[in-house]
Order: sequence, then structure tokens, then C-alpha cells
Amino acid sequence: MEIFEPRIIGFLCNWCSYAGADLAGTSRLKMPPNLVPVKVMCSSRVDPEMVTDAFLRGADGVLIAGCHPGDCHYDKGNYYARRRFAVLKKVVESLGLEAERLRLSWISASEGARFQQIVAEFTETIRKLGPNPTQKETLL
Amino acid sequence: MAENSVLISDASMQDTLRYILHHLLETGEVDSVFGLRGTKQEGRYCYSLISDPSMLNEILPFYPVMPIQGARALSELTITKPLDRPVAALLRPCEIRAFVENVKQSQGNLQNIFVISCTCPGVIPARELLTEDRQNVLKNHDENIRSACKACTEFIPGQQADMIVLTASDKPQDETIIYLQTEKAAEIAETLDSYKLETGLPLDKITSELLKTRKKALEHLLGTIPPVAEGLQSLVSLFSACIGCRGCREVCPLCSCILCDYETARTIHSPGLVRAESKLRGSLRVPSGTIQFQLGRLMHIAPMCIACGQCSDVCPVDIPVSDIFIRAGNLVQESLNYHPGRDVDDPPPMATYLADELLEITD
Repeated sequence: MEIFEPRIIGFLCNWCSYAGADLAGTSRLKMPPNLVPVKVMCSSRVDPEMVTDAFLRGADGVLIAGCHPGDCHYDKGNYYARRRFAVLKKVVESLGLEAERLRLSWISASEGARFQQIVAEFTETIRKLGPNPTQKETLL
Repeated sequence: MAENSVLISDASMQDTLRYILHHLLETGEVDSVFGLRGTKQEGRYCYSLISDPSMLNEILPFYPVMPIQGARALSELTITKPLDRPVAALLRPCEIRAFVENVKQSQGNLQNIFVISCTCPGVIPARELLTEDRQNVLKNHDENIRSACKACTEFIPGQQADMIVLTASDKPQDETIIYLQTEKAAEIAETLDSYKLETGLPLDKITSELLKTRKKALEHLLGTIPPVAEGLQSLVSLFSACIGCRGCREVCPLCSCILCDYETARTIHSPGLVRAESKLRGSLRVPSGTIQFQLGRLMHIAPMCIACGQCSDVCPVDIPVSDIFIRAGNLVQESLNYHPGRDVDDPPPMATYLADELLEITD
């Protein structure tokens, strides 16, 4: 039987999480290759509709990652990102869709190991959930 | 001003309000009146700005229909500058809430608006009043109101109302009772010598049974969130009837962007994308993006949705849009601890934050 390989979109903030991912790479940390990174200037740049767009086009999971609260390069962008993520998650829940496929994590530029751990963990979660059912929908 | 001071009239609600409005216009207390008006054709109504007192016999105060959301009309009147002369506006509680949200987003201004509102019994979908059966529909008012109205627990207007007409209460009233909420309203009432002034019972006391009924209906509505296994399927089947008219967006008092995201090249799917997705799935509805449009609108509006039900009212294919918005709005507003339309001074929910909130959704 073919093993299900999830496709996960990762919106990574330029200042912390993308640098964290970079550090994980240069430190030669092993992690699943399932995350497709998209660099954004700030986690608050991620409009929830970008996430649902990815979701409806078949992404199995979406990770948004930004600086830890209090450490935002733009002072408070990640606080706004958190509110936007709350809206996303609650709307998804209210429709009975799978909110577990969405994740918001804080990863700093020095946390290469944390990045590796989150990617591994999230990939496993999504692998257990199986392929995103929207991939089979034809009436989107 | 004394609390719960009321004006009592033996005449009908319509006659009393017409008289008061007439008086306001004649004395120059207000420059115009904004409210619902009947047209020459039966079953058709519109909002109007009336400045000629003789036209007031066409005004239908709190007639159970909402052709458009009043906030949208009021926003059109005040978006460029505040009103320079006072206008008396007859608005339902959800219209006030929507307008407060408009004001926060620089889409309107409350200055010089004298708000006359009511404890709202709900409105009947406009198209029901166009049928031949309209008399029956009106008679069975409570069964025929919008599903949003049936589940509305905020039928008592907030602090923006100057006068509140008691149109919905636990017991039917023989008299017309108008609560005077502000100094201005009390002053006006003093000049109306044909009515009695008394102290009434607190509004929440005489509407507690109604609140109970509405709360029950709301719980029922919130309880119908589809289970996760069926979520996507029920969403897709619900919107499979959508013809993409965008009516829900056009009538929404909170959808006020001049250029909607869903009219831009950024969100309209390119021919290449549609073909690729169709190849992957074996087939794809064209134009695509119906669900994405609804999800996008949900996420933009849910934090501020005031649950008026206008979107369901206009849907030509009977999709219960407002039920979806009310369910989402309820969850979102609860998690952001936001109460839309309560106070113009509450910061807009997406432009504020607390440092230590929502910790359970992040890691």
C-alpha cells in the first residue's frame, strides 16, 4: 500500500520562523520533506482567505509560524495574526470542517530544533488525519 | 432624566409616531425623517428621507419588512460628512448595531441622528409580502419572520436609541408606549401635550419571556453545526445551488469595501488554474471559487456580523446564508470577546488585541 505523504503549506514569517527553518537546514537537522514554505514578511500578512484557498485547493495542512509574542519585528504583528487565526479556526469549526489541519506556532530565529520538531509533529498529525477531502470535491 | 420614563398614547403605534414625526418636522426640531415608506404598489416598500410633513402619511413605522438594511442607506447619507441638520431615523435594533459598526469603519456618522427604535418583533422576508397570501403571512407574523429574527436575542436597542417604542413584549399592549432614553427625547416628549408621561417598567422585565423563546431558538440554531465528518459535504451541497449573484454581499451592511477582494484578479481563478484543477479532480464547476467566496466573506464579516438576516432574505436560491453567518459569528465573537454594534468606542476587533489572550489556539 502506498504511504500517504501529506502536502503542508507553511507560511513562515521572514524575521523569525523562516530564519528558524534556515537554521534547521544549516544545522543539518533531519525532518520530513512535506512542508512547502512560503515566506511572508509577517505572520499577520496571512489573511485567513489565503489559508482557505490553500485548503480548498487540496493542501492537507496549513502551518502559520511567526515570532514569539512580544518579539515581533513589527512590534505587534503576531498579536494580530493570532486574532486572524482565531477567526479562521472558529469559522472552520462552525462549518464542521477539520480545524486540526490548521496550526499557528511561534518559532524564533534561534529555534532550528523547535522548527524541526514542529514540522515532524504536524506532519504526523496530518498523516493520521489522511488526505484532505477537498481534493475530491468538484463543486468548489 | 428619570429612568424608564415613558410616553403613553391611546392611538395606534403608527398614528402616534406619525404625529410625533409631524410635530418634529413642523417645529423644525428635525430637518427630515428617515424611515420605511409604502409605495403605491401593494407589498412593495422602501426607505426614504422625508422632508415634507404631508408625505408622512406614507411612512410605515416598524412595519415588519426590511427591504434593505437601514444602516446601508444611512451610511450612504453620512459617509462623506456628518449630517448638518438633525434627522429623525426609524431604525430597528440590528440596523443600529450595523450602523455603529459602519461608523467604526468610517462608513457613516451618528452625529445629528435622532434614533427612534423599537423592541423588535422581527421582520418578514420581503418576498413573502409579494405573494397573494400576504394577509395570511402578516397574520401569522411570528411564524413567518426571518430565521435570524426568530433567534435574535438582542431585540432591545442599545444606548444609541433616543426613543424606544414597545412593539414586542411578553403581553400585548393596549396603548402605545414609548420609552424616553435620552434628555433630548424627554424634552421632545414635554412639548407633546396630547400624551401622558409616566414611569414604566424596566424593558428587560417586560420582555423576559420573549427573550427566553428567542434564546431557545438561538440555541437550536447553534446546535445544528454539522459534525466534522459531514462538514465539507454539507457545505458543498448547500452551496451547490449558488448562482454567484453576490446578492448576499451587496445587501450586507458590513460588506463595505469599494473593491471586493473577490472582484480582483488576485482571487478570480485563471483559466490555467481551472483547467489544472479540473484535470486533477476529473471535473470542476465553472466559474469556480463559490465556496472560497463564501468562506472569505465569512472570515471578513463574522467578527462583526450583527445577525440581521438580510443575506438570507435576498438569496434567490434559498441558501440559509444568515444561519451560517450567525453560527460562525457567535463562535468568533465569543473567542474575541467582541460585541458588535454595542458602542462606537469599542475598538474594532481585528485592529486590537490583548497580550495574553487566545493562548489555547497557539503553541
